[in-house]
Amino acid sequence: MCVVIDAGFSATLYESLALLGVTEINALFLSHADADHIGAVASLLAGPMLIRHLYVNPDGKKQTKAWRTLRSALRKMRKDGSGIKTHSSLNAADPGEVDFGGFVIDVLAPNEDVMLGGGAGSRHDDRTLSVNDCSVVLRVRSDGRSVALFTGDATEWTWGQVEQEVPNAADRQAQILIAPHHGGEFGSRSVFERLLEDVRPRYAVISNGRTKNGNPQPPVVDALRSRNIRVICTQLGETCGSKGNGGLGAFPARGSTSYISCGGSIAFDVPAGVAAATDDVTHEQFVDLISASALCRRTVVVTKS
Amino acid sequence: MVDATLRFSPRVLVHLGEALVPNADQAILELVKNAFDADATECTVRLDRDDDGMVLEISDDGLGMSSSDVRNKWLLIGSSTKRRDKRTRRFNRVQVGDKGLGRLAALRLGSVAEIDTKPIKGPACSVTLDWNKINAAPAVEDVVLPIVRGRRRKSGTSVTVRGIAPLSEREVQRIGRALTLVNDPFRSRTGFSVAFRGTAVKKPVHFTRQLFSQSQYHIRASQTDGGRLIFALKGPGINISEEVEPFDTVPFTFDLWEYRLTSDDLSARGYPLSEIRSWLSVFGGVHLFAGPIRIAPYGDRPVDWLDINLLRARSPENRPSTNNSIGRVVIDNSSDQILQTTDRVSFVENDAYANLRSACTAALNWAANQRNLARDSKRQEARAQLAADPVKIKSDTLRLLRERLPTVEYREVSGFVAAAFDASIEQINTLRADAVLYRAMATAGITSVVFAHEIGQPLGLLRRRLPALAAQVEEAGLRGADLIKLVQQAAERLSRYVDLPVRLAAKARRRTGNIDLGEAVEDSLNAYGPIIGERQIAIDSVIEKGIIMQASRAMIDAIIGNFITNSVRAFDRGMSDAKRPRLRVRLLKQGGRARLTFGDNAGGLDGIKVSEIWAPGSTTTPGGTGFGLTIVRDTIADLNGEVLASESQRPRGIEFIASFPLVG
Amino acid sequence: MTLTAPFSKVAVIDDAPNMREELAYRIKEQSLEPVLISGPFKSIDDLIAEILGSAQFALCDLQIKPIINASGSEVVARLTERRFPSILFSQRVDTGIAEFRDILDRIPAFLTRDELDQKDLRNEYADISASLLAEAPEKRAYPTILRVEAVHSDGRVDFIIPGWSPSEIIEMSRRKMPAKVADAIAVGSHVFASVNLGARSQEMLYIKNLELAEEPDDDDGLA
Repeated sequence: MCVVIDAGFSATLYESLALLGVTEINALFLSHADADHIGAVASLLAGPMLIRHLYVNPDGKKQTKAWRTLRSALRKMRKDGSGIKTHSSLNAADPGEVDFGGFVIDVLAPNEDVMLGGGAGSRHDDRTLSVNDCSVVLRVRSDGRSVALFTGDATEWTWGQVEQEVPNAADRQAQILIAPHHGGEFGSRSVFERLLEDVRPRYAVISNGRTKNGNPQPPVVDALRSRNIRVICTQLGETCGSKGNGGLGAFPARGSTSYISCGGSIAFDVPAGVAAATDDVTHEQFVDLISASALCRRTVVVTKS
Repeated sequence: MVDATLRFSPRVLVHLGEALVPNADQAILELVKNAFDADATECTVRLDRDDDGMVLEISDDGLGMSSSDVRNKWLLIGSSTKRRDKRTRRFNRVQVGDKGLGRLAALRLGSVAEIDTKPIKGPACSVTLDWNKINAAPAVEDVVLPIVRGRRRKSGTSVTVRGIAPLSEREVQRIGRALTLVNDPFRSRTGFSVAFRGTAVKKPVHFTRQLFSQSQYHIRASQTDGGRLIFALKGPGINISEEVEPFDTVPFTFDLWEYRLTSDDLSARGYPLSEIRSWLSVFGGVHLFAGPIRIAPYGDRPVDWLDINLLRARSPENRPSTNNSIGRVVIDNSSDQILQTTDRVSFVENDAYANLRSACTAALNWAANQRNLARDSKRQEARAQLAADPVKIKSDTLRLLRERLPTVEYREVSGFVAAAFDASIEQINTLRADAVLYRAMATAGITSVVFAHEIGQPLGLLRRRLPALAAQVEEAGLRGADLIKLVQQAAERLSRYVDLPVRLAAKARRRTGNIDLGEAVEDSLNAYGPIIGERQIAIDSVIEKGIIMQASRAMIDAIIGNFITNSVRAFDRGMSDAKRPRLRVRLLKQGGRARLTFGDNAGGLDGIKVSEIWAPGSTTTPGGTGFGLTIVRDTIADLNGEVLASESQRPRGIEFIASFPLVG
Repeated sequence: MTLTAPFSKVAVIDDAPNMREELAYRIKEQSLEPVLISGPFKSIDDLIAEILGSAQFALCDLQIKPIINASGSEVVARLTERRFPSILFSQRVDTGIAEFRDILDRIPAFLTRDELDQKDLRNEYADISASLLAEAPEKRAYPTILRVEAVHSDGRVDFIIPGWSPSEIIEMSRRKMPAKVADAIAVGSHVFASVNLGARSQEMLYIKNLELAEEPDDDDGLA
C-alpha cells in the first residue's frame, strides 16, 4: 500500500519507490496547486506507474498553465484504462478520512464551507484567501495513534481551520510534523507556538530547497528548538554551512549529487506506533560536524524587522 | 386464420425522406456520393426544364448494379451496406455516402424517379418509381415495381427524377457549390470529377475554376525534357519569371496557388471565405500526378511532402501553409524514375525523388525571396516618399497659402505654419542623425558578436597555454618570465571583454516574460563583474528578490549595463575624491512599485548639467557615444517607469533613481 | 572496446588547425598519442570507421562542417552506440544544445574547451567507459509531460518540463522532432516524452520519443 502526498521532483521519488518495491501508487494527494507541487504530480500522471486515486481540490485559478498540464497528463492515464479515479474534493468533510487498511489519512483542513465558498481567491471572514491558506492539512494515523501531520504550505489561517475542525487540542497531536511551507513563512510566531503546543511532535521535518528563499527560516528553527523538537531538514540551509552531504540514508535525495543534502530523504519506521527516524544517529553525527553554524544547534538572535 | 405482414403507409416515406433531408442540394449530394462510392470517375448532374417542372439526371461511369443489386440493395430503404471502414473495390476510396435515406429524399424530389444501371458484366436494368401511384396506394408494399431491361450500354448508373417543383436560382447555385467540394480540382484519371450542367443551370458554373482564380499568389516551376528550369511568380504587384539551374530529376511542372484567408480581404467577386476554407481543407496541400494519374500515398488528403509547413514555421512571412494553399506537381514518369514503395505508403527515396522535392522546395524559397524583395522595395518607396524634402513641403505650403489667402490673414497665419514646419524639420533631422549613429553602433555590435567566436577561440588557446609556457621558461632557467606574465594579463583582460557582448546579445536574453527583477539585476551586475573587478570598484548592493515584472533580461542589461559603463568611464576620468571607487545598487518594493537606485562616487558631472545627460549625443567622454543614458531612459519608459538623476555631494557622484509600476 | 584494452591513442576531430594542434599538445603532455583526423569525409560511416580503426578515445568538436556534413553531436552519438568512449566539446556550451537534445542521451559528456583542457584524459576515459556499460542515474529516462511555452520562427521550441523545473525554459529544435509532433506543435500544447528527470542541469537533459498529448477532457472533474 503506497500513498504519495505531494511530489517534489519525480526522479528521486521514482527511485525511492523502486527501492521500496512499489509497483503502483494507491493514492496521490495534492495539497495545493502551486507550480512546484503540481509539476511533478503531472509528471507522475504521465506514467508509467499506475495511480489508483488522485485527490485534489479544484484550483481557484483553474486556468493556470500548470493545471492544464496536469489535466492533459490525467487524460492519458484515464485513457490507458488504468481506472484512475479522480476525487475533485479534498476537504474535512469530503472525503474527510480515507482508510487504507494499515493506516488512515484524515483531512483536517480546509473545511468544506471554505471550498464551497470558492477556495483560493474567495473572501472568507474579511480575508481574501490565498492558495496557501487553502492548503490541505493531512494527518496519518495508524493503530489509533497519530503518526504524522502533513501541512503543505499552510498558513496561520489554515491552522485556525484545523483548530475549528478538531476542537479537542489533544486530538491535534502527531509524532512527526512536516513543517509548513518548507520551514518558511507561516504567519505570526504566536500561532506557530500554538501549533507546536498542540502537535507536540518528536520530530519536525523541513522539506526545503537550499537555494530557495533561504529556508529554513531562523525563527521557525528557533521555535522548534525551544521545545526540544528534533529538527531534520532535507537540504542544508544556506546559513547552516557551506557543504552538505551526499545523502545519509538508503533513499536517494535530490541534493545528493551536488552535496547539499543534510537529512536528505528521511525514512521513519513506525513499529508499535512510535516513529523513529532510521538515520537519526547518522544525522546527529553530521550536524555535530557543523554545529557551530547549524541553525538547529546555535542560538539564534531573532531581530524584529 | 390468415397470415399478415407489417405494412407501411406511403406517409412513412415522407417522414423518412424529405422530412429528414429537407434541402434539395443535400439530397442530390447523397446521390453524387453514391456515384463516388461506386468508383465512378465522371459524374454528371443535369438539371433541365420541361413542361412538368424540372428534371434532374445524375449519371456516372461507376461499377453499376445488377438487377439483384437493385432489388436487394437499392430498393431496400434504410439498409446501408456502406460502412466507413470498407473501401471501394476499384480505387480503394474511403466511402463517403452512408445514408440510405438520403437517396430516398432525392428520389422523392419529383413525381417520378427512374434508375437505369448496368454492371460491368451483365445486362442493364431499369426500375421506375411513380410516386403519385405509390402515394395513392394503401401500402407501399402493394405497388409492384417491375425491373425491366435498361437502356444503358456502358457500365454505370443513371438516376432521373422528373416533375420537380422548379428550384430557385439560389438553390441551383447552392447545389453547384456543394458539388464543388466533391469535384476533383485537377481532374485526375482516378479522381472523381463532377460536372453540373443543363438548361436550368444558367451558364454552367465552373466553381472550381473560380476557386482557383480566387488565389492571391500563383507559383510555378517548370522543368522541360531538355533540362531547362523556370520559376515564375504572379501576385499583387508581382509578375516575374527566372531561369535557374535545373535539377537532376524527371521533367515536371509544379503549380501552387496560395490564398489570403484573412477577413479584411473580402474579394470583389464575393466568394465567401468559409467556402474557400472548406475547399482547401478538403483539397489543400500539394498533389503529385504522373500525367493524368494522381499518385498515392496521399489518399484523400496529401501529406506535406514538401515540408511546406516546416518551411513556413521557420520564416512565416511570405510563405504558404497547407491550410491556405493548393498545388500540383505533374511529372513525366515515362522513365519510371519515381517509384512507390511496395506498401504504397511512401516513395522510394532515390535521387530522382529527392531532387524533385529539392526543386519544388527551391521554387518555394525563390518565391518567398521574391516576395520579400518586392515588399522591401515597396518599403523603400514608401520611405522615399516620406523622406520627400520637408523644406520643399514647407515652401510649397507657404506659397499655396500666399496664393489663397488675403495678405493680412496670410501674414497672421504664415508665422505659425512656418514655426510648426521648422520644429518638424528639426525633429526629422535629429532622428535621421540618431538613426545613422544607431546603425553604426549596431554594426559595431553585430561585428563584435559575430566574430566573437573567431576571437574567442585563439584567445582561449592563449589563456590556456601561457601558464605552461611560463613554467617551461622558468624550468629552463631562461629569462622572459616577466614578459610572459604581461602577455598573460593582456590575454585575460581581452577575454573578459570578448565574452561580454556575446552574452548580452544572446537571443534568450531578449525573451520577454515574467522575470524576477532582483535576479535580473544581479545577473547583469555579474556579467560586468570582470570589468568592475579589474578596476577594483566595490559593489554595495541590497537587492530584494521576488519582484516580478514583465520584461526581458536584455532590457535590464540595457539599464544596468549602461549605468555601469557610464560610471566606469567617470571613474576613469579620475575625478573621484573617494578612497575607494564604489557603486551602490538598491532594489526594493515600495507600495506597488519597484524602486531601483544606482549611484557612484566617481566625482559627479563635469561640464554638463544633470538635465542634459539624457539627450542623445551628449557625452563628456572622448570617443564616447552619448547614447548610453538615452537607452536607459528609453528602456525605462518602455517599462512604463520613470527615472531621475541627481548629483550627490557626499560622496561626490551621481545617483539615478528609477521606479516601475508592478501589476498585481 | 573493453576497459582492459591498452589505452594510448586519442582521436581529435576538430576543423580548426591551431585548435587541433593545441589538443594534440595537451594529449602528448599526458603521455598519450594524438591521432589528428581532418578529413574531409563523404559519409559519417567513413569517419566513424576511421576513428574506430585508429584510436581508443575520441575528442570531437561540435562544429565540424569542413570535415563532414554532419554535427559533431551525431558523431559522438554514433560512437556511443558502438560503446566507444568520446567527448563532445565546443567553445560555448549554452548555444546549440537545442539542435541535439534528441540524442543527448548518447552524449557521454559535453564540455567547453576550457573544461576539456583541465581534464585528465585517463580518468575521463575510465569514467566514460564505465558509464557506457551501466546507466548512470542522471541518464535514466522517465516518461513525463512537457508544455510548449513558445514556438520561434527559427524552428526552436521553448518547453517547460514541470517534472524537472516549473520555470526553466528548455529549448529543442523542431527539426529534431517526429514530423507529426513538429507539425502540430503550438503554444499551450502538451507533449509526452522520455526525459532524464534526474539530470542536474539543463545541458544534460535529453528529450526523446515525443508524442502529442491530447488536450484535457472537459469532464475529468477538474475543469
